[in-house]
Amino acid sequence: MNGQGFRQADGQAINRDKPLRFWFDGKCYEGFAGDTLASALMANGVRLLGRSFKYHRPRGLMTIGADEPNALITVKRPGFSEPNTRATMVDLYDGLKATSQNAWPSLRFDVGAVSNAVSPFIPAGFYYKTFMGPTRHAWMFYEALIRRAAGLGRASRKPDASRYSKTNAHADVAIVGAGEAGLNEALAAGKTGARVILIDEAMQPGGWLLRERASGAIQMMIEALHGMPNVTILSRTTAFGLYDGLQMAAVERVQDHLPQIDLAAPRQRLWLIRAKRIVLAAGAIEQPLLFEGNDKPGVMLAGAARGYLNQHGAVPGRCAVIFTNNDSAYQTAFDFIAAGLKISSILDTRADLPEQLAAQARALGVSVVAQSAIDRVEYSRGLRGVHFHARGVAGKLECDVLAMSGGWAPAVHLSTHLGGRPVFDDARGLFLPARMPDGITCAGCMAGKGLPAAEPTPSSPSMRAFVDFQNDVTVKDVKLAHREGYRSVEHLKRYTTLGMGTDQGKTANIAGLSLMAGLTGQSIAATGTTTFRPPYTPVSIGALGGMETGEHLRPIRRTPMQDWHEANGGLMAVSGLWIRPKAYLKPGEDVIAAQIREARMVRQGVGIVDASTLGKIEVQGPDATEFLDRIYCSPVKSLKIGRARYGVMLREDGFVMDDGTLARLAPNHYYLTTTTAQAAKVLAHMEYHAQVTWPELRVSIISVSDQFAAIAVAGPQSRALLAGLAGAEAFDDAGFPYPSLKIITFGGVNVRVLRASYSGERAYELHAPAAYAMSLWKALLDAGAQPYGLEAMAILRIEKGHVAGAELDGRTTPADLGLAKLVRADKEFIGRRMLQRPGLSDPSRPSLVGLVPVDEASRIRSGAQITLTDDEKQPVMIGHVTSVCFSSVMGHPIALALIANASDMHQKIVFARYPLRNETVAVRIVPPVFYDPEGARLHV
Amino acid sequence: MSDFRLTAESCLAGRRVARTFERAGKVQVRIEERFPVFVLEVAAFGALQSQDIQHFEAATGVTPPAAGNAVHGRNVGVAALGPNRWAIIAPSELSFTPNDNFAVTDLGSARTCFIISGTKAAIVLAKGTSIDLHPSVFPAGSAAATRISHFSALIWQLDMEDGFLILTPRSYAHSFYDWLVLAASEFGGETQAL
Amino acid sequence: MLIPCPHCGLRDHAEFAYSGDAGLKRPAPDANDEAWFDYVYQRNNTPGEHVELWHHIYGCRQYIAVTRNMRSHDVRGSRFAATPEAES
Repeated sequence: MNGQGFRQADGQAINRDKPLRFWFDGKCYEGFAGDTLASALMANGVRLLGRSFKYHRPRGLMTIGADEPNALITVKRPGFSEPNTRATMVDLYDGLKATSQNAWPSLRFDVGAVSNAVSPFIPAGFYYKTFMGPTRHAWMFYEALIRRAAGLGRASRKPDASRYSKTNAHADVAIVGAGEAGLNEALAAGKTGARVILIDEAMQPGGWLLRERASGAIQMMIEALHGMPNVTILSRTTAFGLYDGLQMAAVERVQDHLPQIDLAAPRQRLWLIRAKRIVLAAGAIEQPLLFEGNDKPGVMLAGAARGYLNQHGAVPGRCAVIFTNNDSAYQTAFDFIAAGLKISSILDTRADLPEQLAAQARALGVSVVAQSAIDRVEYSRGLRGVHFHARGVAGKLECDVLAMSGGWAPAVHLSTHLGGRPVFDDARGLFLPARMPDGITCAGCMAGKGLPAAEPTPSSPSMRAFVDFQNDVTVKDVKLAHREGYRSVEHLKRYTTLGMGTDQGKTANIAGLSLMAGLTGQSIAATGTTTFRPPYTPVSIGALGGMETGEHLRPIRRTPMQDWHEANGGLMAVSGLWIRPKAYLKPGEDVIAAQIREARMVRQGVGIVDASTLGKIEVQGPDATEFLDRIYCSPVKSLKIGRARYGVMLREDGFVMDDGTLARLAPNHYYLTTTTAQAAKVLAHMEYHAQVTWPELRVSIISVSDQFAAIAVAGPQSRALLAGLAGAEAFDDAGFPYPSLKIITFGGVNVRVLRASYSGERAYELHAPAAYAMSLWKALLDAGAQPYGLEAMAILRIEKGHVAGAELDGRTTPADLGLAKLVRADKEFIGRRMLQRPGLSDPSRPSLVGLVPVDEASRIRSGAQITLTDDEKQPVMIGHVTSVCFSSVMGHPIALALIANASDMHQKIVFARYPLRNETVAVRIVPPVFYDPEGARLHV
Repeated sequence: MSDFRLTAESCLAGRRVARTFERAGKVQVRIEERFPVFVLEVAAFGALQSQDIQHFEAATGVTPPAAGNAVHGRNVGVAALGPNRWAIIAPSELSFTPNDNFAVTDLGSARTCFIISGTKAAIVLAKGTSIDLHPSVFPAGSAAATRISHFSALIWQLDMEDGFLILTPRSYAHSFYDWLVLAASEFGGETQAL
Repeated sequence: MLIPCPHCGLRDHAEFAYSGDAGLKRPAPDANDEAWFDYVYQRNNTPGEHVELWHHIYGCRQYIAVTRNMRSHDVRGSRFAATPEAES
């Protein structure tokens, strides 16, 4: 273990009684509680933290916060690793393991750094120009190599074992930033009793106050806030997005600072905050200066250098040169000297030095040089010195730290999330926050308060100066973009990648657009900025997903019988939000054998199927009959009390929306079913027309899908089975004809029994209150019934030519489906007018037919295209296969299809082509009802 | 005809076991199901006239509450679901006769009734619902038809300390229960046995 | 986005399903083809204020006509779609 050679006695945030061990690139170091990974590495003298994105240049710390462009590292945890984490934002914990990124085989000897030597050959737009046009194929060849060499950290391929959570919160006042301005706002609001949420991204509130040499007052402010039960302080929480309606999203790093993550609790928590008032006090971001070598390790922001010293007692070196265009960096010099460190010189770009500060510096023995510029830095395994000139005189200063300050830019990012543009303050050379909607205000440095005036960026800095450190964009790249016509800031961003990446140009955008403004001769205000969009800093996908992963991604709907299906051989399949049994496998059976056995059982005896997923709706009211008559294209008004009927409803555009059964319970009371898939849509459709189209109709529409479970009892022996349970009298055909609905008592419970049939056999649907359904299902089993699943149900309906979802695909009319005679021309209904369009009554429209394979052994596939010939080269498509099954009664495959000019095609042989499997099957066109076309089986 | 009685079963039967999941020695959320409950949805076809209010009061013992509110009577609770629509909840059957101005629908099997209580009950629900459950905004007696995570729900702030009654559709109740247990796990909680 | 529901109060848009233009008037059954074509297929997409339908599926199940500025996202007001426009 190495000693903390660069740890001073200063550092108010660290606890020296709590030493922590950590590893960086496999090497063990020691830090203290209160350190960030960045400050601990600094204290240990580690200067080289990563390699740059494009040229693999050595990079060290530049900042002390979320704006860090260079120090991207991967944090390793048991079970997962998190790439692209900023070392400045990682709180140190005992046992922390982190690795650098973008270097191979190691940080110090990086093979990719050779691309630095050839950097003139990788200018902005290099990939576009080199690999487009005739050389495009070269891209395909080189892409894998380039992608391996470039890019940021690597994501883990393992599932994330951590848990995440999302929560909603409400506040009278939500404040972003717990620096001086944010704390004052929180105290003022808190004292009024308002519900306050104070959000801050650091490990403790205080902001830059924590980075001052003496800061006693801040502890009192924080204690006062802790004493207010109406104030919630969220530390380690980044507000990353602002949304309409005074809503804000923030991510809290709940456990990222803990040595061991408790997997039973969330690692990160997403906060969705709704407030009556929002105060943005996000502070300001110090900007770098442009000179050759400004990206070398040891060159950092002056405020950050001072911050590490005062907050953590960590120093980037022992002898510093200050390079600044504003007053703020002088304080860095004063603090360094107060801590016993050496300041070699203050190089000020300005001609007019701040008299008082310069005098103060000189009194401390520091020379202050006006109108100075840095020509280059000397770097060899560490910063050695800087070459500068001032008023025609050149010189060299030795140093191991260069603390620069290019001025401070308000962190306006959140202010632009609602569409506003930052406003340029010409006098001070600052972008101020956009004009905010009512209820949102900006405070403190973010509003430009207390920020020093800075000298504008010089018009022609060194071509080799880095503008965007993370994306390796230099002054030369910006000039090239300008020369090639990419002059708008948005084009500049896309051409050079300036302002992209994990830091989104927090330390790059201002310099980039100042340069562009200089090149185009426009003002900075006219040049404008690119748009800042959420998120302010990267947010893990896990946090955005919250608890909604795995089984919680979607809800699962369950019928009362689902446990039984699963426990009794049911082969379960996902169907929308439901999980339904395809078939019940007996020992030794496969699903095909099981479904054929089950279908035969219904044709020959009796079977029961869980049909609870059907949509069920009650329509009541004095105008219920009139309303339903307008909803269904099929007749409603003639339906007698106690009778039921097959019904079809259209969309307003004339196509079939859904079908189902409609039963009249009482003069003003109807019970109707919808298909499983369309249940929610049909309910919304009916509510729409009741509320929007005909608000004058007095009608109530209530979904009872969950109230009633449905069990279809089908087969010639269905009546006998049910009579055994509820008495023969109740099932006498004279009193209970097909189709009708009767309320029959089973075991003391009233059950709505619908005499309707999907299978074509005599059948009864038992609609029982869901709480009693499992008990009823068991009674039916005890009486000798056996269950059948979805696949057998499909066989039975295809044999009868009944349409289902594959035929009701939103493009079929009643006539296409052979249901034209159901449509009543003598009434008004939804879809009537558009159904009359010539295109919808064209006799050549594809309509429903049956198909049988010419060779009974061949298989027809659902979705196959129907062609007139088997000519591979010129297929003439006339339709497609909608549903297929192996018919239990016919002993071979059968299919339903939609075919053009079907009336002329009877008994013709056509081809079902399935190019995905390179299959072509000759099929004969037959009527769509394969079994019992007279309907005699309904009454057997 | 065989002699048998059908029995009612909660949709959580078999799943609902008593268990305690402590966190740092704390149990801060309690999840219970009330079963059976009697639930009616009553809808008026138009604005209520005085005879309609009398009819409502005769059936329930309470005056129909306004939007956002719920009222308690003797062994009955009524919450406003929408304009001229109410949910009536009772531990046992209650008769509300439909007439020319009222549609009445039995939803006793359609809804699963949960009681969520404990010091972190509101915090757990806030993970799923965007409505403000703070007592200053949603005091005892408030009710809201809203969304909790993926689930449609009626949330009702009871007159008990930190207690909420939740009605959610029966077919979703398993998923909702799993969601509740997961959401509560970081605080420590307990579930009730049947 | 928050939507003011006349029955339930201010609610998150995730409780609602967007349901199209609230300005549509269903033509009379015998209206001409053009009127029906416009009603079924044609929609305006102009910047500025729109009256949109939002179905409060997780709340009161009412269709709400919401006046919203598509440029600023400001919601100016709402009413039940069932209530004829009596906008003040």
